[in-house]
Amino acid sequence: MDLRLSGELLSFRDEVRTWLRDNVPERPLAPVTTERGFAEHREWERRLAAAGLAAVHWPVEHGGRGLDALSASVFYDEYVRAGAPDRLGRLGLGLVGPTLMEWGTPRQRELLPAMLTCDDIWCQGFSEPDAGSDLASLRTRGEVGTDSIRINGQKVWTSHFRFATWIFALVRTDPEAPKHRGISYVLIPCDTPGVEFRPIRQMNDDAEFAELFLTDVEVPLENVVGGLGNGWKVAMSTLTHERSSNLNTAAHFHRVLRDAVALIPEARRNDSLVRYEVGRFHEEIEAYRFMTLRTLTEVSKGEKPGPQASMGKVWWSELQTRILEFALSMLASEAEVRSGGLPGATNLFKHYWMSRASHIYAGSNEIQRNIIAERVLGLPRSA
Amino acid sequence: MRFSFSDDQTEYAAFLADLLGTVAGPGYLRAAWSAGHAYESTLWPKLAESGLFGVCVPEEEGGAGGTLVDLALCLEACGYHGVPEPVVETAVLAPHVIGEFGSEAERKKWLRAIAEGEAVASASFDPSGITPDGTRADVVVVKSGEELHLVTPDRASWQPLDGVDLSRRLARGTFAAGEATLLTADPAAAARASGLGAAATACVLVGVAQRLADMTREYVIERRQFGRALGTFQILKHRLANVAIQTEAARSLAWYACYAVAHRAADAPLAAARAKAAANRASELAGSAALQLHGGIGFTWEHDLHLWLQRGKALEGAFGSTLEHRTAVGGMVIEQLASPGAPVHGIEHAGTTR
Ligand SMILES: Cc1cc2nc3c(=O)[nH]c(=O)nc-3n(C[C@H](O)[C@H](O)[C@H](O)COP(=O)(O)OP(=O)(O)OC[C@H]3O[C@@H](n4cnc5c(N)ncnc54)[C@H](O)[C@@H]3O)c2cc1C
Repeated sequence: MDLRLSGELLSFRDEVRTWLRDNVPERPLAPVTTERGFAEHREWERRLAAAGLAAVHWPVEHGGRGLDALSASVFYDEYVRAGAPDRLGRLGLGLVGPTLMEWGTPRQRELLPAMLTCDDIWCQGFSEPDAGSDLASLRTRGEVGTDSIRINGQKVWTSHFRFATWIFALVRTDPEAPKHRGISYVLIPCDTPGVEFRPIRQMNDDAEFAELFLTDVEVPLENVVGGLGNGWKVAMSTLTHERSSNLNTAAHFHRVLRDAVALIPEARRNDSLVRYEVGRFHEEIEAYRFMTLRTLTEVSKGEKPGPQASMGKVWWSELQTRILEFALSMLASEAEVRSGGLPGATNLFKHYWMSRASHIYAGSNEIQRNIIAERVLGLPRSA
Repeated sequence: MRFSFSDDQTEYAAFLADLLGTVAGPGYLRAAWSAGHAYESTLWPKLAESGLFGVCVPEEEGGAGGTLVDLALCLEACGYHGVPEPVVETAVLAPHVIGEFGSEAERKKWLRAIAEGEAVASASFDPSGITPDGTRADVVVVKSGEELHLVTPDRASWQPLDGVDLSRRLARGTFAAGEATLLTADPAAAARASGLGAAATACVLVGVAQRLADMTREYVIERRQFGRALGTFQILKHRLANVAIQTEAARSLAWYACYAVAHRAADAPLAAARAKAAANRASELAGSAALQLHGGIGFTWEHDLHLWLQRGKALEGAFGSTLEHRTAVGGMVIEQLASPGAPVHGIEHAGTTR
């Protein structure tokens, strides 16, 4: 056990720290959902890419630094601490990019560089109105022709659709095959005729997701990733990446806690109940840090990750909500005000609701607990 | 950077766990319970032979010159196998405290004897004076206010007590502590010793929680009701998943606490407090799930479950309760963050992780 950074990592950390200090915009960028915000965020992404920092954990041949998971975590720690902008191309960088590296053909991998510069923005077409947690029951049809595939159906809850240029989607190409076997993983350009997004307003008034209608959408067969009928396997590797997002570092949650602590009224700072809660949050954030570090160590050593690797998503999502609930209770009635007059407390509910969404997406926390019970603890399947 | 144990550490702990699997466990524990204060440990010489007590004793005194990190997995194994002997006190606290603050004579007298298993040590850190193995111990590290003392039986009087866990052989001590017994009056030293006790006990409790979780897991796989295994009921699955999550969280914090204490990291006091609070929670969650999910059989004396339930409850109070540790950590964090000049940033980055 040795938690010191190696000389090499220390100099990498210093490089990143210096670069961020010199480059992170002083004022927050406009929201990514607006034209201006999108342009500002893309500009930022291009600066990162030019500095070779867009995807440090990607292999060098694809524009990354080829760093291992531990080193990448050093980068993201610095990134979050510096208060750098939210990443724009997260689904490309974190989900479909690594999936293409694992499963993609050389042609498909040519899509990778544009993920780094955010010339392409990717969105995820997995969920359907009748296929949420039970994703494998999806019904969007893909009829396979000689050299193309014709897609009909509906997806829903598609985030980041507004500026998206590509969709990675799951479609059923073999209705006769068993549920998990008849699915294919397809890359669909958003400008293909028959692709239509209908925005859905979110309850927290924030970024939108959309319904996605696919009507006679025709894409070449070469846009199928990992082979026809192999989509479920490919999707599982995407979902593994989704649950272990790099940006959800302990540093992120420490910032959230710091901001919540700043809302404690002076008179309540010695209140032992308040202290108990803050102590608990701090403990839970650090537990997350060290669970993650265990996993990163195992991955870097090429070992099979331990049980804690399947537990991060439940842990951080519920922890973050508890911190925000605490913050709301500190503000009491002030929290109700949307354009709150208190510094640091603007529209707290919006963030609170967003934290609740993380209990639902990326595999709901109930599904996560099923997975822990069945795959980690080996309990029998329910039915 | 590597947050894992070396091959040597892992292999030694596996060897110890194997040993305990054969010589300790429920049968042994029941004998200890029945004998109560009259109990003679047959396990002690085997633990001594395994080298456990010498791990943290300096090499020049016949030990291995190791640190708490070398013992982390071993302590977990002791919790898992329900070892009733005062291992935290003898293998961790006494060698560290005597090694650092003992006079030349005290070091000569005790360290080698501890390493070889000839001396049994205990520790009395609670203001109540309640001490495990008080009457049995040859030497006791006493925390009195912010002072550390080294007390031998001639300077203590013991009143034996029955605890929830009879194998802990509690006694309430009254000590003739004074100049002669004083090791150090440095508050930082006393705090460090408390941290050692909390970090080490956290490891033991993780083992206790894991044992409770494993016993319950096996039970719900076997036991059938309504024509199916209990383990197919989702509400029970989720309860066990929660136990597993808290146990892994506690384990991760316990490992770091051992590291932080061993390396005297700046956050060592925080690390030990967090680890003990999280381990207490793991033991609580595992214990209440275990008792509930076993139904009536778990409520019997005959079933082994209660041996670990009561051990868990006993250790949850030792070296600091959850309430005590969380409140202390929270106080430190608030003071650090809310000091004037700490920036106010707004929660704008919360929840935007998708
Ligand atoms: C903000 C947000 C953004 C999203 N973005 C995307 C996106 O970009 N692309 C995309 O494809 N999808 C996206 N999703 C969809 C998300 O993946 C689904 O909402 C999720 O998989 C749950 O499916 P569902 O909504 O159909 O709920 P259901 O599956 O109907 O679940 C409803 C409730 O029942 C519970 N439940 C279901 N099955 C079980 C079971 N077996 N055991 C116990 N409990 C169960 C669930 O946990 C949940 O609490 C997004 C969702 C949200 C909220």
